[in-house]
Amino acid sequence: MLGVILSSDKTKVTNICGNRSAHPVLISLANITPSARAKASLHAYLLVALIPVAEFVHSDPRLCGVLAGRMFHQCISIVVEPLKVTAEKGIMMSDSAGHSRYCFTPLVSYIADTPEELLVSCICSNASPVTTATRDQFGDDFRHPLREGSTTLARIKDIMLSVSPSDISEFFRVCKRFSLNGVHEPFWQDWALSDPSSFITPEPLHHIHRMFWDHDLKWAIYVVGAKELDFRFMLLQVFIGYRSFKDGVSTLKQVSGRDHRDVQRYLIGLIAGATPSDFLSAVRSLCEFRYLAQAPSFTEGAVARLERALKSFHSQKEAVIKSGARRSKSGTDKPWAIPKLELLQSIVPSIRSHGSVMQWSADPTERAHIDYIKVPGRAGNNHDYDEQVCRYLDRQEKCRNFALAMDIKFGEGLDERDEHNHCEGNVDGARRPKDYFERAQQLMEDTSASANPPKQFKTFATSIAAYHLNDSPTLTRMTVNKAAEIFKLDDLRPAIADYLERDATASAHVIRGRRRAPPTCKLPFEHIQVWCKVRMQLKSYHEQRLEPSQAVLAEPPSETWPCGRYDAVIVNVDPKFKWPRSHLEGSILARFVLMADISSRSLHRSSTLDFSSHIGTL
Amino acid sequence: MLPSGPRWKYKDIVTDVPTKRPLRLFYRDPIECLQSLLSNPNLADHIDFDCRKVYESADKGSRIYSSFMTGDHSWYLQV
Repeated sequence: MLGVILSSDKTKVTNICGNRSAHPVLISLANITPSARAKASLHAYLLVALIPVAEFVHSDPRLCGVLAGRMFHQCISIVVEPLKVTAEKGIMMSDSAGHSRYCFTPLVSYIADTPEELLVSCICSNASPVTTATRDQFGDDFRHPLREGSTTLARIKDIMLSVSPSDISEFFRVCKRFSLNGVHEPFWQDWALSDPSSFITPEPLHHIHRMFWDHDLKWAIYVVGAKELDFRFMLLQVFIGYRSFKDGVSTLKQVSGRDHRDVQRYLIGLIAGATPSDFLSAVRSLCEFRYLAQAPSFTEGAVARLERALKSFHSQKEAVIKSGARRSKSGTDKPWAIPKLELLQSIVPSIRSHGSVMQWSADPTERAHIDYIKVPGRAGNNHDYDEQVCRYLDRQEKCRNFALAMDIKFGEGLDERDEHNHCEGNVDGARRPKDYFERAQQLMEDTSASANPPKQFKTFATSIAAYHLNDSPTLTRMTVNKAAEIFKLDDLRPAIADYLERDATASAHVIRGRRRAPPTCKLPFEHIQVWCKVRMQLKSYHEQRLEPSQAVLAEPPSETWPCGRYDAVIVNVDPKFKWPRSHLEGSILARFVLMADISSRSLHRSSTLDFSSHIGTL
Repeated sequence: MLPSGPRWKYKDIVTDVPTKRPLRLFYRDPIECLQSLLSNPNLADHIDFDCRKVYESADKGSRIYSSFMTGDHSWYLQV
């Protein structure tokens, strides 16, 4: 069985002048694992058709929409005709190992944004494409019955008995009464095992992130006030590798999905305290739902948690209305007419039937548009656009196949090349993050065999995190007193003394609490080496995959940063708890202030580098 | 001549209502496209033909849902 994935989205081709847009349709297979499908460099999505963008000569612009919809379905029908046949009868296909497989091709997912989902399911915009809910029911806290393709077809047939589809305006008028969009021949009508209520899968990029931006953030801006919220965003400390919003968020224009995610990360923390607590907890449960929904795999427990989060939002959503943030455009009788809110109800059933939702994200398909549409579009001379794109892609594919064949032929093993740099000199192919875990492991092994006095390494790892330091420290030969002065740490000396003592007696290190050593205690050394930056690397929560490393700063006060630049870290202080199973229990939020090498020759200490970390009350 | 990917075709679309510019649909045979995905050596290790139910433990207490092939729908389609 081959699960066909189709995806379409209208995109602009030219950036500045000329109003050229294209309507590409991509095809892929659900049998390809989600992680491989998400990689643009593997080309798991192929361009299967370019639907012409029509300008109809018709007086009523609304009916032009109906005509465009019909044309869209007409085109897709032509393209997918062979798939319908094989969905019914099956076909012999060979896989990469040369085995023949008897394949059936039902449509299992159609990835598109919300308006296009409506277009595909032939529904008009005041109803849901997946369930029978209509505008007034979008805010209900349960899922309405599925809108099955057969019912939609039966309805269209009924209407066609009384009104001819060629009488567009009359046909559309009747259709609207049944929340149909006036298309009379949907492309999925005779596609076996393919039903819009099942193949329209939730799409995280639009349903989750876009909805956050369009709704949650607007509520927050209303409740907190644009000025106050912007101010709060401005106060955020800048982290390397994360976007900062130094002008606030309320005036941002042309935001990308990435920005939506970045704002989402901060919002709850930033509005806390400035909103009524019930409003905060409503928004929080919605955000919780969004984050839980993005997991790459779900257990029954995870699905239940997800369900609870959405339920909890629905039980608290009154608070959003009470705060005045959610008002419908016309009066206050239908405050929850948000189509995307209704679509969230479909996420849990979809996880059970189709697997995790992240694999249906429009992220990779939108990325593919750049390769397949925008780049070739700009390479041409702006005439006969579609034709040129096809020719361009055809040549590209030939080159790619040739390069691949050459690579295989000349022994440069496929796997090896696959790992280093995914095929065909793709410049923007995913770069692998450096593996500091591996490096630390290697260093340990290399020396445990030979060197007797254990060496100090600049890269080391624990079970959950790896650390990497530059070869040369930022501040060398620094006396303890001087460092204490520069970093404004009055208790640095007793802190080090405490640390050494605990280390010697092998008792657990405590981060909080009073220093036991007196402020003028004697240390076995006077000089330390200080690093202002350390790279930390973690493994991803779900798959134990490597995350790109993250720089953590501990810079002393300077002219540009009068209060220093200290990043926050989460430290596990209780050995009873193990991250990530214990969540944040047994951990505290700390400010990372100083990274110093305090090992001295006279001591021959085996532990390499130690934190002296200071707790800020954050 | 190099072997190409799935071949492009085109078809002129006629609509009931006239359009400003003639419409031409460019497309490829989707079966050929799927075949080229299936035979792409880069994707060979990532293709999965068997639907299955994955459980957390042997007592079949809790299902794990991850890729499409672990969901109920693929199960239903296969049967």
